[in-house]
Amino acid sequence: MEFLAPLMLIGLAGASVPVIIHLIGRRRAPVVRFGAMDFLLGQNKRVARRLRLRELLLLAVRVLAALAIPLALAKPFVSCASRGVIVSRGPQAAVLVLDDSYVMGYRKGGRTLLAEAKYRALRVLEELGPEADVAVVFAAEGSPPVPELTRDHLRLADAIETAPLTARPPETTVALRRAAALLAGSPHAARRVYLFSALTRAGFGGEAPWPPGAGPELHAVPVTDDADLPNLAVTAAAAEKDPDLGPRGVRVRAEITNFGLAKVEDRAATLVIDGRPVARGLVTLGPGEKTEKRFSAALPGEAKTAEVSVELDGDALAIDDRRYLRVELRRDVRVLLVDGDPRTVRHEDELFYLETALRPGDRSDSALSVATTTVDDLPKRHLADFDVVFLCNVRALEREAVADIEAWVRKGGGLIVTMGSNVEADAYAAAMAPILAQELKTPLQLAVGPKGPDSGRAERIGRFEATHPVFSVFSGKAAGLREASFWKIQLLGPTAQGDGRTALARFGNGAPALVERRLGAGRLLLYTSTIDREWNDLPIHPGFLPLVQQIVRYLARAPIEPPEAELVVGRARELPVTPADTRIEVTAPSGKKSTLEKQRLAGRQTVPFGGVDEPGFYHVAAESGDKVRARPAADFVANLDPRASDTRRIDPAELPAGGTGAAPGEAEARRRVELWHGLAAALLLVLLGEALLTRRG
Amino acid sequence: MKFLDPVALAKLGTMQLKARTVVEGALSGLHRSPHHGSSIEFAEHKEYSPGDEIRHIDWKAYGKFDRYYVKRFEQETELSAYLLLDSSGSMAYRGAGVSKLEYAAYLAAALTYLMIRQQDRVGLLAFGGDDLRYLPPRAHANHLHDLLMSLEKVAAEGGRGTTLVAPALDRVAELARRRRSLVIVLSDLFDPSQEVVNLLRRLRVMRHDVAVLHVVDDHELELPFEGVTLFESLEDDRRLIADPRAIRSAYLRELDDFLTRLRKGLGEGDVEYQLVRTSQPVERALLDFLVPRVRGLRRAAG
Repeated sequence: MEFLAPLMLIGLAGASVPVIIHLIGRRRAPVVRFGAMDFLLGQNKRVARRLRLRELLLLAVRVLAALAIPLALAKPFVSCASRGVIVSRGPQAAVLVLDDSYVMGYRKGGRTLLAEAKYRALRVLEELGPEADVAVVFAAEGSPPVPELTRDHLRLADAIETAPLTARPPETTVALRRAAALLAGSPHAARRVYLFSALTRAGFGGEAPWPPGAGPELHAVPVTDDADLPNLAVTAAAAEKDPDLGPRGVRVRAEITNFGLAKVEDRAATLVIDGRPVARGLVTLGPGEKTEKRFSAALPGEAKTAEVSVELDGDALAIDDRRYLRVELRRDVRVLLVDGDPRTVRHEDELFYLETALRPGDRSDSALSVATTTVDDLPKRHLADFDVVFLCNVRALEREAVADIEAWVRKGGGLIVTMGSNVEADAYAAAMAPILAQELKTPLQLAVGPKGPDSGRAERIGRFEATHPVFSVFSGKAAGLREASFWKIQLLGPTAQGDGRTALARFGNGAPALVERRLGAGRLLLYTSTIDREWNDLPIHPGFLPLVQQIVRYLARAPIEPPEAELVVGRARELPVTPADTRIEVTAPSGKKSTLEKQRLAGRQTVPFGGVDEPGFYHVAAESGDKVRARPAADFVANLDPRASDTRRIDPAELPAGGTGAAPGEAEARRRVELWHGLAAALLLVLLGEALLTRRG
Repeated sequence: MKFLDPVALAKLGTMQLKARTVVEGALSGLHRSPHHGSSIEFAEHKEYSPGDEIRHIDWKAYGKFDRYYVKRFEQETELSAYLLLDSSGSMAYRGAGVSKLEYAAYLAAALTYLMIRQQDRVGLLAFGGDDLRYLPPRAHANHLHDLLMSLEKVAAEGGRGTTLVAPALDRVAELARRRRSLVIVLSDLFDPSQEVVNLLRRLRVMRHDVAVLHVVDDHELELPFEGVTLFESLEDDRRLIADPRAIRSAYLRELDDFLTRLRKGLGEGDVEYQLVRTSQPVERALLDFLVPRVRGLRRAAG
């Protein structure tokens, strides 16, 4: 202990005054030599003890008071090493950067790191004093714009106290950059940034927030001293069909990562489908390791979609212990194959190769539902039950049948007509013209067969529209497609420009191989060769299967786009809009509802929804007219950005260098703590106690 | 009636003079000798022998037994009196006047003077702590001198040691076991043990005439002190600094309980008890002791 005014310590001698007075007072008490001491002491022993205690207390209190006065006047202080932030009071510009990312939801000692960060930030705010211009910047990704520096500390304290924990990753470097920009406009020479964060690696990266040595003073205030924040997280999840479990079987793969420095053994992971746990397993992971946990389950009920999540038994950071998926079973495309040349020998049948290609492996879980019929039985079929119809080497149909097919196509059906010996151009021209993509001419025999002496004259696929969905799966050379030989093809009539027909593929001689025409809401395709091996050998080439699969998908307008990227919290979601929609309502996982009103929807096919603030399942409903209907097709799921689950702390040396050149990490310095304030307060208490004791005496 | 104040009495010369003054004063107040006339208390028969009073021949017995028997009375058996004077430290307490020990000595001297003058045998047992001073009962005039000198000496030395009444009572019980005696205890009885009461009652059971003159000071009865006071024990090293105002009620309650227990215990044992304040004249105390006894003798002579 040191003193600013040590001469005042002379006054300590005054502590003897109460003792002397006490002793004198004791001597001055009249002495009575008394006989009846037994009666005097009998009931009064307790009283006497109390009186004696009071007397001693009074003496002690007076001695303390006599000591405290010169001690306080001597202004004692101690110097101590201080870990933690040093706050300079007075005029200055300061920005408090508060990390509100989801890693701050880590619980330690019954409270979150964010709560600790808030506590420390409020203390620093108080210590800065009323003359400091201060701003609060939040470090989570997508935080609101930075406000101005202000001396309205009450408002800042309120902003700190009410700051919610977000589900977003930290962008600490960005926040520091914002803080530096804010401070750059301040007239104060003293510019400081106080960073309240867990200082995990995830928040730092990219370009430094300011040039080394040129920015403000950076005081990093770690909200925990622990080097290790054990955390196990589900960092990715995906689902795919699991044929072994039937048409509703799914296989879910979850990536689980251990971000802690210690091994984690037998942590339970659970697969939850539509809110019910259906499978459970254990994972054991060494420090920094990741593993893939696989679950298989059948989706319950008849629904084509299910809400699936993989959940770990909770740890200190619970929010990243689960990951959500919305599993959607593809809708079967219903295909009707009309066999124009049925045979009893199966491989000779017109549909043998086509049917095989549409049912690879003869699996019942194909996304296609294939039915076959003959020309004679076609009228018995209800076309509305099908998405795609193949007319394979059929003779010209009756006008009524053609009219039915034409109406069906106009409503959205997909029809492809393939050639063969039963196809007569004249008859087709007379009856089938409404459902043909292009007028037929005569067939062209190029060779006898694939192995005949003139096989060299056979044609091959020459050009095709590589960007068209039908051919998008083929690479540039498309060997499996181009190597097929066509020894007989159906020539087509002339086309008028602008009539909507498109030759998607042509043979080497320029003759169309596949022609498309739109009819109403439907699509028509015309294939100028046979679907079996009568005119070509394409069915035995690798390109046949993907070609017919793509044709079916295209005609059925089944989605063939790659699966959409996972939506993470903080990103906007594009919601589909129909012209009839007057309002779209989105219900977040927490039950919070957000509404997109008509003004935002008008004239748009999609509308961005920016309220994705929490992980989980979002449900969409749309109002058309007076009715609000759920729109399950638009439902979506959002997950955490897994980067912030990495709880490993950054090396303090990697923190941006402060502008003063001071170490940016925890400050360790000598700090002078003045004690006389406390002594003065203690003196007041002592005097109060003395007054009370005297009064009671 | 006007008696000498104990303080004034203390200023008189020797103990003999004090005793005489007290007795004369008391007797003048009583107007008659308490032992006037012969002893009347019948004690036993004895066969006549030459020299016996003829008037004491029991003629009824002669009629029955054809022999001369003489009635013997208590007075003729020579009264033995034991004065037990407490000379412990607590008896040295002096309030506004004389100390309890001085007062008790004066009273004892007066009793001695009176009884010796009436040919009674008087002994003295002064006790205080381990110190026990004993003069056996005798009736001649020289013995009076010895007794008074002893009393004067005890009073002059002041009290010493702790109050131990019980051993003194034990000693008297042993000394007076063959003869009925008058046992007078002069003490403050600040020996709160129940044993003292039991011993006094036992003496009474032994057919001794037992009287307790409980000598106390007014200050002990009232605790009239003011301001923080250091009380020091007269018998040991106990001390107490206290404000008498704070402890007075508890003290008086304790003392009152003690006196009540004492009176009740002695009364039940037919032991005469008399509270004697040192502020009252010694003659008054003597009269208060004698008058009931004289009345009792007269009733018995009746």
